[in-house]
Amino acid sequence: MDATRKARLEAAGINVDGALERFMGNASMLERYLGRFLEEKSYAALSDAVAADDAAAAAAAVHTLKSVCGTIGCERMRELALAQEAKMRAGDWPGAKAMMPELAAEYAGICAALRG
Amino acid sequence: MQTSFKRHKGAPNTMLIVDDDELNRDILAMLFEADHAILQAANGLEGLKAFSERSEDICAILLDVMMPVMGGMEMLEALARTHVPERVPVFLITGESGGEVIKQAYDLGVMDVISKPITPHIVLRRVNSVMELFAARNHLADVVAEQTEELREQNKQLQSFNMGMIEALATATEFRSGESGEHVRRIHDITRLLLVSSPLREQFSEEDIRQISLAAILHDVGKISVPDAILNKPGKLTPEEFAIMQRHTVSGDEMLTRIPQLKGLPFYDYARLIARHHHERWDGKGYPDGLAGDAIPLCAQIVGVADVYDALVSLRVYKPPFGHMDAVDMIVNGRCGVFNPLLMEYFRDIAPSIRELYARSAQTEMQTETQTETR
Repeated sequence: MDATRKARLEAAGINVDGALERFMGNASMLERYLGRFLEEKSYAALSDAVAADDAAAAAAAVHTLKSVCGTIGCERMRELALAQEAKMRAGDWPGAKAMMPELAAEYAGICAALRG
Repeated sequence: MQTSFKRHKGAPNTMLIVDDDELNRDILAMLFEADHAILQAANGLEGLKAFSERSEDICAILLDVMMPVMGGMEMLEALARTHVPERVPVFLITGESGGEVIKQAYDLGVMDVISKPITPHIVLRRVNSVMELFAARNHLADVVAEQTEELREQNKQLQSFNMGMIEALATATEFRSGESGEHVRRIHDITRLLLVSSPLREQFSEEDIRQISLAAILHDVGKISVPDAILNKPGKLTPEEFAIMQRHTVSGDEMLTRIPQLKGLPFYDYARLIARHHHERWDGKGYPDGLAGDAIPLCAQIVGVADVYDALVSLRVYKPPFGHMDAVDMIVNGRCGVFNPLLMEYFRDIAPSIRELYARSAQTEMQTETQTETR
């Protein structure tokens, strides 16, 4: 992983060093899993569930999204997911829904950085 | 990938990973796939199904908590009901930091709780060391079970060898009197029948009954010391000859004391009592010690009856065989010496079973009324 790419990923809220440490310094393995994030379905499931006003499905999706983000080091996204999950658990569905644009922007940023 | 994982040959080696997120499953699978076969399930229900299909192969279960359809805690509860966590280590991998869930998981028997996001090399180490512990424990249990089985087998062989030697000794003795190995077996069987089919069984344990029945076959071992001319004399013995004949009781007892290997065997004491006292009679008119009544060891009284019955219904050089009914009457009526009246009651009660025991021998029924000596 070159410095330019690393900087771009970090700018998208990915803690590259932390993730690398978890992957035992294996950068190509980390890249492989970062690549998988683009196909990972939990974000799509979350946005569909919120659009359909399905709180239960949204709670399950955001839980998975949080976990996936944690694993590959998408820390800013993970924080957002965590906050949204907390609102859902507290029964603040409107508050959780209101966070969607922020999550969408963050997700788009990550995807762009990963593709770039 | 370097791991310290050591596995015993033939031990289960499939790891079951239960997580609804494919990415998480893959990361865990990647960590362990160098040393293990991997089985994946996307929720608790699938996990239980996968486990039940392959339960013999599974060496560990990695379990997520929040999953659709059936969560990790519910699956864990199901596993705990069948005591799975006692033999297969279960690891909870969870994003939950709530203390209650973790406590509950430990109560249900998980070996470790690993929080998400996971740190691969830490997961690898924690999971591997517990799996090694379980594998070593299972291996040790297998080794102990194997050795126990081996010991049991050796013990059985030794016992059957002992039995063989004892039977050989008994048969050798009987052969000299022109008897076959059948006689030895019959004495064993009547003795056992008297013990198990009458109220006598309440006085002896199953083990005692086995030992007494075995000891019974050596009752005449002292006849080895009786000269052939007396042992196989067709006619009535002279008083001098009869005195020599009677010595087989005492010499049998003495012979047994001279075989040191016999002393350790559980039937030894019975064998001595039976060899010495199986010709004693209830009224004190038997030999060699003239013991009367309850002074005669019960085991020797029982074998005494068995021996007389067998002698009566068998052809001997000095007498023809008697029929079953005659033999029973003669014994009960004291024609071959007086026996314990209670024992006679039991004997009469089980006489039909004794007859069945002898049915194979197809003895000729003969009606005779002569007074009969039994040696």
